[in-house]
Amino acid sequence: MKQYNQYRNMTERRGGMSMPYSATRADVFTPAQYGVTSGEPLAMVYCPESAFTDIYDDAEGLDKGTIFADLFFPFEATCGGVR
Amino acid sequence: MTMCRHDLMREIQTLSFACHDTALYLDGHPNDARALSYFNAQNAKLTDAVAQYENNFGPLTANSIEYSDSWTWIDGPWPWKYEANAEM
Repeated sequence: MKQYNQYRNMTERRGGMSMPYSATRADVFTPAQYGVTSGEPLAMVYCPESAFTDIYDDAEGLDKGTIFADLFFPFEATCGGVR
Repeated sequence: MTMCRHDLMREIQTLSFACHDTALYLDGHPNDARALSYFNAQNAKLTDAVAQYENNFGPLTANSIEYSDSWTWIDGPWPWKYEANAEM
């Protein structure tokens, strides 16, 4: 319940769906069992705010699998792998 | 203007996708005026296309069948049949 309230406070403050909590350095510190002792996080992701711009028309959106030109990243397999 | 069954189904599929993708965006940006108006416009077009399809070719889901003495859902092609689907 405490965690839920914390989540509610966070999402209400940001006015929508968002991260349930802010990670701190202590949360992401890589434990020594991974062989990293310099304090780098094991993994970090980022997610920039998207904008409602460059919208494909309906037919193109369905063909490409997204209506957002910003999110269209086709991956093409080649002999050397994926580029 | 009446579109053929395939074209109308394709229209419904593209509009459904546009609405769904916009809805996902709106989940994270609930006050984006441009996205809201785009959703409303595409959703209205979708409603029209569904009505036009169902008036001409029968119900798209069992929820929208006309009440009758018999089960009219089975009158049209089954959803997995070629005739019921648009070519991609």
